[in-house]
Amino acid sequence: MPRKPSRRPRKQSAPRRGRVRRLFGAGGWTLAGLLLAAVAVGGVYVHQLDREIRERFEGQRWALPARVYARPLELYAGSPLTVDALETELRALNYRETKDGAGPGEFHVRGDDVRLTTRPFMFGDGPEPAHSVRVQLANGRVQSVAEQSSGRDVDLMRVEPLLIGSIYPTHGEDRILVDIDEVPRELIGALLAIEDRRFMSHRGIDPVGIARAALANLKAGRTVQGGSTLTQQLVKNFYLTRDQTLTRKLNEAVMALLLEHRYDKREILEAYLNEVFLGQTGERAIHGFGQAARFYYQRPLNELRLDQLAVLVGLARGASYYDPRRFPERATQRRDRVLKAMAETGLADRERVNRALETALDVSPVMPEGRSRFPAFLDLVRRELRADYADEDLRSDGLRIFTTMDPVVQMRLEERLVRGVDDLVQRRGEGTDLDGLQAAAVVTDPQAGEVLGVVGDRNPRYAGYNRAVEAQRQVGSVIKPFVYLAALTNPDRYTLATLLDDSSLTLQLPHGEPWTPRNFDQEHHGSVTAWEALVQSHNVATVRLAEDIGITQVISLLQTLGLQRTPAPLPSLALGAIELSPLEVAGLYQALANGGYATGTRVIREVLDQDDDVLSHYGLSLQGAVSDRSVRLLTHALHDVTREGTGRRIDARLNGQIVAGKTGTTNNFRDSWFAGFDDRHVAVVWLGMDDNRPTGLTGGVSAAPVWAEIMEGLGVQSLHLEGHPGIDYQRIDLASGLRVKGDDHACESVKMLPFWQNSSPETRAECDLGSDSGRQGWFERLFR
Amino acid sequence: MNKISTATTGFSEGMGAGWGRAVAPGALAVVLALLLAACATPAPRDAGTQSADDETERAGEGDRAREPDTRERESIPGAALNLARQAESARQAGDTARAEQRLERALRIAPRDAGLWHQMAALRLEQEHYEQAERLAGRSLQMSAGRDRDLALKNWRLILRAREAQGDAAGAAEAREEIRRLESDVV
Repeated sequence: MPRKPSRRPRKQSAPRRGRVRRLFGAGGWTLAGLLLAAVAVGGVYVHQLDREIRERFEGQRWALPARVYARPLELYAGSPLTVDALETELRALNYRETKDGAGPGEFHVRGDDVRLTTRPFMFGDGPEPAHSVRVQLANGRVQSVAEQSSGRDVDLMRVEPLLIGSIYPTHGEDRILVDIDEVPRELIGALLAIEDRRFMSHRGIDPVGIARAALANLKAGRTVQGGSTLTQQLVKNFYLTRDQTLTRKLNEAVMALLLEHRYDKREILEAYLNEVFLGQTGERAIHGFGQAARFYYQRPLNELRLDQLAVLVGLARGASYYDPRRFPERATQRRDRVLKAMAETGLADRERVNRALETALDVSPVMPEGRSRFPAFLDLVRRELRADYADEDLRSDGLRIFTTMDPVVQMRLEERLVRGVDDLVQRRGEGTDLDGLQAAAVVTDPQAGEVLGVVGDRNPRYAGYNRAVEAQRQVGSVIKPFVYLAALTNPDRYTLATLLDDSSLTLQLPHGEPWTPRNFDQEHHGSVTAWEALVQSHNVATVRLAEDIGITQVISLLQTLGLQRTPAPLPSLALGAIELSPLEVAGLYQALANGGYATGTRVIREVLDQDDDVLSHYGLSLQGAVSDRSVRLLTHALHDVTREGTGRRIDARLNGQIVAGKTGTTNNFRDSWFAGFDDRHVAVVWLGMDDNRPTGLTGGVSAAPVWAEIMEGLGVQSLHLEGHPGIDYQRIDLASGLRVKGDDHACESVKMLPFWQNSSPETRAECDLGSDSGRQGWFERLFR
Repeated sequence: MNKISTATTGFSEGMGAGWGRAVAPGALAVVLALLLAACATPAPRDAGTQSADDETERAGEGDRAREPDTRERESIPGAALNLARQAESARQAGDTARAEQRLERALRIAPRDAGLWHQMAALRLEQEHYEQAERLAGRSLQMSAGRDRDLALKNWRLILRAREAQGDAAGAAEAREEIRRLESDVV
């Protein structure tokens, strides 16, 4: 056993002293001196290699990428879920559809009845064991969750979260560490059988193996076998450069001996299993069997079949040469050799091996170029992480990042946005130039501001300019609800029935130049109720209202609701002369969907370190609030926008389901927006050209239908507008803004409007002919 | 147990009618027991509806506030109830981080439950995040919309403590006034 000379016990060398003297005689001292010097030099050399080995083996061995996960799907009786959404989620997780869904990562659907078996997963708040359950769904909800075996109800469980991306070390190595006890015994057996049969008995170098390989190579006249042990291969991968020099060979041998001396076989084998290079895609290098299983089969190692394990084992010899995607024939031959070796060594019985030999290679298609299926979301995650983490830590510390993404929402959003925009381009195609029309969208959850899905490009796979986050575009009328909200927070002065003047207006701007806002239809509408001005998006009336409240009040409200900057207090702000990203718009609308409480938008829930300890928890936080009642009144009007206002295409599309929102169109049709919400989603859609070219599209005809398309895909959950104890409804004559009682009136247009208690107009409209009882009809009135 | 009962009595106004069926029998029993317990306390009244104008037309089927109707008090899923219970034991054991995680999960399941919002507010108060505590209690008040006087009292008492801790004298006085009003408003 090689030991460092300095550590050799003196006692052993003492009896030899006489022999040495006799051997060298008088001049032997010189020789002895030279020998000693050689031993000393060798000692230093070996000592250095030894230190190198220990530093690498005992420190953090690998730079591990950060893993970014979607939110886990929670299953419980009552959870809003459809069979379709559940299946989408399971397929995204690469679950296999089988006859009974009884094995890990398997599912089975029959009507409203889904059987599935999850995999165990470690969350920040503890482990979630594997569950094998039967989930019954109906009417868009989970009706029951019960264990498959016992039929016992499961109160609450989580499916393991979807891995949505990784943040790789700069050298591009990607690995999932495996514990040797988790590795299938067959894989280890096959590896030893094919690579190093005497692994358990040699001490790092295998002279028998070298001799056998040399003989085989001599016979063949070329290199057909290698004589390196697994230990040598590990050393080669772990410590040395790839050049083939004699020094390197010597280092390799000495280090292999040292490694075996210092560490036991289990540790060496485990290191090998995690280190070995098994594939490459772009700049990403696949190391270790844990990652290889994901990379080639998209499943954890312990779920692979015998033939799949054999493919991976075969790759250890040469991952590029035996690449099953590029060279399926070679890979199959190599696999079959591994399988036969397993049969020879008795690791697997003939029958299983024969079955495995019959099986076709079934590697999954390689991931598309780029590093995530969801580049825009991952980009947003990285931006948020940068605030708290150094880039190097993200690339090397094996952090696990739990995000708010709902994979089903994300996928539906992508699908529907693409479809909606394609339809639009097709519909409007004639005579318009919509080449290069771009799109971005954000969906968040109203209550906590969690970002559920993000698309930053019309091609959602494109990992470039993330318009949802980076694009700063004028928002147009999307801002108007906040002007009206600022008004409604003062119920003594403003209600939805307050009359606003929409007649021609010219304002002197601070710099002296005059500004004359115009309505979209280039007409003026005289006196209009605030309700109508908002629903029909009249510009002039809105500017007057903002002037009346004071534009600084509007700014202050926007800041309460999460706006991070202070725009110049110009009257044009009331018409949306401010540049925001779709994500920022979603942040502002969040508060409208959340009873006036601003939450901001969140994409990360938690960051865990390698030991599963929570490094950061980004908790629920309410950042500001405006009165609930004013938000409720506003929401009524925003619902009417989608029914009879500029966004009326939405109502037809969504079959009368109750949603609320606002269109936005900027000067010369450069930007088309729709921002709105239902009970469970806030969604913002932007359409436009990167170079600011006019599109000729209004928010109402373009972004609104795309928004409806998306909401339909997500499954609309209607808002609950009615039943607030503090809200009364009044019929209002829209011409005068005064009340109308009963059905009996001659008013041209009457609208039922909500009012905060006691704030509705007292005065009756002149066109209201009804008596106090309100039950008299036109016949009675004839004789009055 | 106190906390849990608030989680149940603060019902949500808008959940689908299919909820009752969805609740597991065990959880249903707990919910029913807690609802009965809640009925033993004075029936919640809502100040906002007292002055309703006789000419006022109301949208919706009826006045929920004046006559609390248990059929409309849809229970929250048993899963959220259990999480709330676990959060409470974690809090009692001094593990506020765990309590927070559990409550956040519960709120994701039942985001309209006024009791859960109150429980979160209480946790934030304990963590000395006074501004958050105050806002969360406000959210709880908003969610219960005047239908649960006991919960409203708890929320205002919590707001009072949070405002006192922040040295907000005027706000504290306002909270005391609310508490007095609620306390004298005995049915």
